[in-house]
Amino acid sequence: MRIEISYKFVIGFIAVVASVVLLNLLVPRLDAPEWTHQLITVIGALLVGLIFGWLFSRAFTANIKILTEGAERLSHGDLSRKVRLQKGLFSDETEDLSNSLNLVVDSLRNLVGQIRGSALNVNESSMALATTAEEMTATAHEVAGSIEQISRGAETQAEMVERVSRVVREMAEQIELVADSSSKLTESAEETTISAREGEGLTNKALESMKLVLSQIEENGAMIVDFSEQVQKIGTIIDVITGIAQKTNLLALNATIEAARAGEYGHGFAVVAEEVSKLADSTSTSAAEITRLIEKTREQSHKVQLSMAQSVTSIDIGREAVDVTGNAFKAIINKAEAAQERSIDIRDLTEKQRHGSQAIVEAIEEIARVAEVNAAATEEVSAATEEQTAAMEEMSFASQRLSRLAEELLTSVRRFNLGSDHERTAP
Amino acid sequence: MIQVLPFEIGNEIYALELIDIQEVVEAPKLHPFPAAPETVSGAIAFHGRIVPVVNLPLVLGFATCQGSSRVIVLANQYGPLALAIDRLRPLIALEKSFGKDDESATKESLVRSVFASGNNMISLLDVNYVVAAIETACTSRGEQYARTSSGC
Repeated sequence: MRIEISYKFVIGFIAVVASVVLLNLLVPRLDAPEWTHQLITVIGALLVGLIFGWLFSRAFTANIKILTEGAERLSHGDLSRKVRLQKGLFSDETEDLSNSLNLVVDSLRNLVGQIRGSALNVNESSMALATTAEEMTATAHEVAGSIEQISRGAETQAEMVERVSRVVREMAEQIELVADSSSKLTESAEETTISAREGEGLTNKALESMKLVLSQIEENGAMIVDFSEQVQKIGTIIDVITGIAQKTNLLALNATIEAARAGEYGHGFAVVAEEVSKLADSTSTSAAEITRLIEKTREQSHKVQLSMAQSVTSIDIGREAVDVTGNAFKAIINKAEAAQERSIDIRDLTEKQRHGSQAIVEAIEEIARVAEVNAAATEEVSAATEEQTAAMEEMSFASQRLSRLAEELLTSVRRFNLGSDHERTAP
Repeated sequence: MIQVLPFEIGNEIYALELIDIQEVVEAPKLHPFPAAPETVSGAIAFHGRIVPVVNLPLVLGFATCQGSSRVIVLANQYGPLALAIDRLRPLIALEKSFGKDDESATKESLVRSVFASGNNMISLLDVNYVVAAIETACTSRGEQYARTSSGC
């Protein structure tokens, strides 16, 4: 039954008053002097008052003490036990206070438990976070290094792409030159083919002319041989004439001798013999002249034959040379035609190369632009990574600080003794 | 007017009078005589007769005969005899008065006289002395041969 403390004091007062009244009624009935009646009443009222006061103060003091001890444990952070008041017949505000205190203890226990758990979790999480932050910082450093390398690589790539672009532009210009040269080469190959065909035609004409000349020389050679033979025959005849002239001369000489031996009678015969001798001498002289001319003619014809033989040999060599030249011209024509076809192929290929090189130049310029953008973006990423690294380091420091704060909080919370059993009650 | 037939022997020019000459013939094949003297080169067939050919250069004291294609056959009064010479020259006619030169003109017995023809000096041979010189040479050679044969 719940009776508030104020009511308890009222009830004790009422009990004292009632005891005074009752004693006033009962004492007269006693065989005690009268003067003792008042005394007894007072003493009885005092006793009643003392009894009620003792009872009330005892219960009240005990509860207050328990509450004080509970509050003191609470103040020391001992939340392991609840405040348990002694069971009285009549509960009062101390029980409410006890309940409230227990509620506070429960709340604090829950709170401290939660704080401890949270602090532990925070500690663990902050440590894990610190570890992770450190790892992330290290990773961020590595990433920053990699990004730095990537940035340098991107710059190098941009430079290389720029150089490649320059080289490719030069190559494209050279390909342009090659294309122009291949066009000129095609024209030259065409002109070479035409010239070689003209040369072949001229060679064929020269060959035909040389064959004609050779045949004429052969005919002339045959005529000269025939002429030489005729001259030889003339020489033979002249030899005969010379022999006849000599014999005639001899006969004339002998006739002159006979005439001289005949004396005056042989004078006319001697004149005739002298004339015959003169004729024979003239014949011999003419024959000798003819022989000399024949000899000269023979020498000349021999020289002509030698010259013609040399000419034939030279013409044969020339014909062979012209044949070789004709074959060379044919080979040149074949080569020139092949060269022309190849030059056309080269021209087409160089045209394709020119288009391809233009496309390459454009692609390389695009790559250069992309590389520059990449380099700029990589620098931004590098800066962002450095900022991230700094943030990660700050986060690492913050997590470490948080971990220390969690440890401090845990140290602070450890002052609270929650006990193993939350339901443990105070003694 | 006499006519002479000049001919060359070595570098000298000699001549014979035409009346001393029978005929001039082409030099046919010479047939050598056995045991003949050096001045007789051989013999030729002349109109069916055997005529010895005398090497006149040797007779005149020249080293060798250059071998002409003509042989001079002497007149019959000198016997069958032919002279081998180096080379014939054209006939020359001399005045009759030229005749025999004085004896002092030639010391050489074989030469009758010496006359000039153009720039050349021509010695006219005396055939009798030539024939005598040949006979002398042949006789000495014959005696030598006879002695050699008897000695054998």
